[in-house]
Amino acid sequence: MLDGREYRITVIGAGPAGAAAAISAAAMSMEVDWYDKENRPGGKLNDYHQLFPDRATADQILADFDGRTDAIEIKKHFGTAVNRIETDNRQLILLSDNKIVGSADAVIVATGFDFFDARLKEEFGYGIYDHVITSPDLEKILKTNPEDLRKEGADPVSIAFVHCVGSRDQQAGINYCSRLCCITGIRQAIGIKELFPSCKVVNFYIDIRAFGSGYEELYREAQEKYKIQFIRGRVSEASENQQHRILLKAEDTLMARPLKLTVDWLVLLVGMVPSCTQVQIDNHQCTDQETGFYQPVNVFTGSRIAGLPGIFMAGACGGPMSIPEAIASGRSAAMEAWQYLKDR
Amino acid sequence: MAGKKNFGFERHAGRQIDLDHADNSLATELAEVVSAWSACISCGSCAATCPAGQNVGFNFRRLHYKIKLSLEVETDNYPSLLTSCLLCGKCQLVCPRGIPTRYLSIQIMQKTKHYAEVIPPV
Ligand SMILES: Cc1cc2nc3c(=O)[nH]c(=O)nc-3n(C[C@H](O)[C@H](O)[C@H](O)COP(=O)(O)OP(=O)(O)OC[C@H]3O[C@@H](n4cnc5c(N)ncnc54)[C@H](O)[C@@H]3O)c2cc1C
Ligand code: SF4
Ligand code: SF4
Ligand code: SF4
Repeated sequence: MLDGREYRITVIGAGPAGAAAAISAAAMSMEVDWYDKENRPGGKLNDYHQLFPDRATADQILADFDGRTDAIEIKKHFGTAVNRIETDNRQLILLSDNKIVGSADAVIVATGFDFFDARLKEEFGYGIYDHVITSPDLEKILKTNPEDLRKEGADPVSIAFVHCVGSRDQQAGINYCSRLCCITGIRQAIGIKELFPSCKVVNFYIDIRAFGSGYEELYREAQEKYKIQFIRGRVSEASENQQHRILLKAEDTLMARPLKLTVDWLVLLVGMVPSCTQVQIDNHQCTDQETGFYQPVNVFTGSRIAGLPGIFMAGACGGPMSIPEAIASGRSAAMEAWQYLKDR
Repeated sequence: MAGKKNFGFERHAGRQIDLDHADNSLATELAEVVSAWSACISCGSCAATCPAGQNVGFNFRRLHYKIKLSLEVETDNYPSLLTSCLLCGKCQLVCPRGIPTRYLSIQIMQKTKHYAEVIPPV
């Protein structure tokens, strides 16, 4: 058993990464202060319906975390955002709106990510046409009221998903791939087919990136079992017709022909961008200049934030990652923090 | 009985893309003046939005991809770029790789002029 009894650690963020970090640190007997700006833990999972790869409900995972964080000694400070960390000798001072709220020997930053603002891609008409929604919007609808997808009581006839919205797009200033939107689109397309079996569901992709364990299998299931159509071409624009349906233009690149499709709903698979509530650390530039995500001291071996002793990162604040990856990085950050405190 | 059976197939010369004997001089020249072109991911946004490509066989993505493969543009059986592209620049607005596609089009026009002269239309 690792004994961290003398160490005081703060975890900022109560999404899956922060929860895993807090549980692991507490299991090593560290004194844990756990912050989230929201009044409840869970992060993005609170608004998710089902999860890839196995389509467990998000509520199941949340309940599992609640059980484990309640069973162990963790001081929770929910409803408090930590905006700043100042270093004072070996102490780390935590500030919320310029007020000191605590101090610690080590900090794990797990502030997560934001969804790309789809309004920036005007050509897709988000915020202009009512029936253009984003993947997180659809997640909420599937979770709370899937009936909203019906129109005057009738099942939708066709729904399309657009991949790479606000990812791999120099026009949006984002060149990286968000890694999880392909599989999100596949999972959500299956969700739609289960609700409305006769609905035509089409995913417009540039490349299908289904890298994780179980992802390729889910992709194949989407094709074989659910008959979801995958068209290789990026949608270039969307407009609304008089029946308030959405008209899409794309190229079917495999046929080398322009293509049009009219749908009841257009779902934009938005990318993951750095959180706007990232923690400022002294006056240190600790995020990657190009992507804006926190940068580790070493991409292979370290979760310590570049150049800062005692401050570690976990989860999607360091770039797009899945829930299992976020959990694993939360655990390893706690372990690294322990090692750092032991050795210092 | 003839020794050879007729399976109903015909052998067409030149269907196979021959990368061994490709003359990539045009592609190399173009990549020098429009370096971002090399980053094209064949997403099709340019061709999808192209007003010229909606009704005739002109396909801008396919055309510049063919050049990359060193396939002769002028021997293509669709209207040549020289007459189809309106130089409207719509393709450039949607390209996710930020490729100056309108400029690329102009460069192709200029650099293929001599090709057009030496290669008789099919
Ligand atoms: C549409 C979509 C669907 C997805 N579906 C799945 C799926 O099915 N399966 C899967 O494995 N992954 C999925 N993901 C990925 C998943 O969302 C992430 O892996 C996960 O949310 C990362 O967890 P996290 O703890 O790093 O960040 P988050 O979940 O973003 O949590 C961060 C927490 O930090 C808090 N916070 C932020 N700033 C501060 C601050 N300054 N002070 C205090 N608290 C703060 C936030 O309130 C939040 O609670 C999906 C992603 C998208 C975009
Ligand atoms: S995961 Fe798929 S949809 Fe998302 S940015 Fe990468 S290629 Fe595009
Ligand atoms: S510039 Fe030429 S290729 Fe580009 S959209 Fe206009 S007509 Fe099409
Ligand atoms: S829009 Fe850009 S990246 Fe996409 S096929 Fe055209 S030139 Fe290539």
